[in-house]
Amino acid sequence: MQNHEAEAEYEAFVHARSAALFRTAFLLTGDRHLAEDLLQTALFRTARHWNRIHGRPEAYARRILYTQNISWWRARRHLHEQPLEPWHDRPLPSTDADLRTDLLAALARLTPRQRTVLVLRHVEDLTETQVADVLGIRLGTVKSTAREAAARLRAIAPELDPALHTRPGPTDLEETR
Amino acid sequence: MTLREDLERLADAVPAPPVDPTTWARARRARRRDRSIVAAAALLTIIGIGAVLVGVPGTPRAETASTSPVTGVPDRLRPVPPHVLESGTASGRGWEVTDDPAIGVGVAAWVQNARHPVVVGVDGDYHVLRLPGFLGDLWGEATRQDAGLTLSPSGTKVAYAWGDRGRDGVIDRSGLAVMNLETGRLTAYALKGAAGTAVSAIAWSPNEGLIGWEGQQFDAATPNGLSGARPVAGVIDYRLDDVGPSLDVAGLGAVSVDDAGTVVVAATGRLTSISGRQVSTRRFDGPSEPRIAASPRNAVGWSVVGAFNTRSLDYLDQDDRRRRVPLQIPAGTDWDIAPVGWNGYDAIVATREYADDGQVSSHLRAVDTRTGRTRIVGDAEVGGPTSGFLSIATDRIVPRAITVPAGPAPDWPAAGPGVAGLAWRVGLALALVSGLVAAMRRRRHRTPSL
Repeated sequence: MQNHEAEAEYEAFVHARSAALFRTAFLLTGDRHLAEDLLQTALFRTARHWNRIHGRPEAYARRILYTQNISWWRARRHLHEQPLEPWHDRPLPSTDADLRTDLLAALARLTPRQRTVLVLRHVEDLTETQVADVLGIRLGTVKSTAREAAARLRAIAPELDPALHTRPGPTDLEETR
Repeated sequence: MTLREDLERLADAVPAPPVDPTTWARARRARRRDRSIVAAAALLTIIGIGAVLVGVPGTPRAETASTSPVTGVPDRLRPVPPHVLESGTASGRGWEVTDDPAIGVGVAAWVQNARHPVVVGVDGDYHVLRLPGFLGDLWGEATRQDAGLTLSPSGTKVAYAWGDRGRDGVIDRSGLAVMNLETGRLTAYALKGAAGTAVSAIAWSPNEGLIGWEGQQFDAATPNGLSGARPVAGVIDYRLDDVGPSLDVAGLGAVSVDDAGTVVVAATGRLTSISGRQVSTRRFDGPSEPRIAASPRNAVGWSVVGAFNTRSLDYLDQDDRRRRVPLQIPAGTDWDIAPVGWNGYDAIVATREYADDGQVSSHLRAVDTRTGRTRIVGDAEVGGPTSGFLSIATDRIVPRAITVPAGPAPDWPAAGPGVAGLAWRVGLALALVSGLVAAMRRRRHRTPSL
């Protein structure tokens, strides 16, 4: 493949999918700036290995999002940064503002791994087995992490609890009870 | 509303940022770096593996393989390279520098550079021994000796000038020691005298039961020096661990001892015989400064006396009569001779031969004491009369041939420096580390499987 052709394909991919990838990145990090960094990292690595992953760039990019977020957390968990512009100071559009604020606050209280499992299960629609495979952890760890995430959400934002049960993930949500 | 819907709405509310337009260009540069790193790692790894397979110059190999099995005195005795002599314990094919003296049986031994005992094993290997208490030339010039070392006739032991240092580093006991090369057992004999006796020449009796010696005994020894030196000689019964008296002799030069315990010391112009406590001295019209005497075994002679610039061979016959045999030396040639043994009528000597054209050669020669004819039985680049104290296991002399073919030269490590060797080692280490780091980096950056 000629380089300019590959570049054109990459640009098309970025144009088409970067917004969706950013949404996932935002949910994984709970922070806009971290989400931007995470997206840039994923897109850079995707470009770097474009020839090898040609044909399935989004799957690759998403996997980078999932794993890199946890890697960052592991590398930075001993640092306690104070964001200059806390996420809850941002204006959020219109309706259900309170619920979203609660939800973001609740997500922020989760660990990156808990948040990642939650997002993969309920937003990305992955099965527990797929989550275990993507994150490189055991199936039991996925289940226990999902249980802990649900328990913490209930404790932080009880009003979210019904929502959590309203629509199960692709497999049985027993672990969230 | 489900959690999923809540989350999606939450994410939708945050506008997507613009993607850095230089991402592709940066990724392309990174790909080039990746390829360069991989190529370099592969090259360095190949170099490293190749270096390991072919061996590193200057690095001793772990195994000590014999060059070839030789059961007698090899017809070529090679000097050990100086950088090997000075190295720490190490080994390679056909050689070693070791502090473990249990090397088996030796066939030839000498002292190289006045302080390094070398023993050639019956297997042809060269062993540089770190013998405990070996003095070398530590006594200094004042003692007119540079340390004796003599291989026993069977080749199973070496006797050498020995000393023991006190806490202040000054030698406070000295004499001679016997190292059993088969067992590694050391037997040290401290001789009388302030700080002991500086032994300068040693001889084994043919049956290995006795050791004759000569040296200098001091009346006083201080950290500043020794004083009151006088020449003494004596005999040690090795089998009974009995040290005989140190008796004054007329001078020092060469020593020999027979199985009955008679010691003969040949000095310039004088010959001293010691039997028990009887000492007799007579005039000896032989070469000046005789250096070494050899013990006889089934020989017609009693003691061969080495000499410088000689054209004849002096020895004592079995009746203790001096004999002089004119040597058939080519005109325009001078020889230095150091006797090393007997083979029937043949006196075996190490020679250093100087031709008028400037050529110098070193040989082992058999001198027929009946005719004065000589023949070369080997090359000995060590142990000339001016250095080395070359001795051979006389029991290992092969009748007629006297010597056996030597094996190939030991695989000495490359001479020189350390700079090249060090650079090579550093380069190899860098290559391996770089390859490893590159591989680890490559692995860490490897893309997750899809």
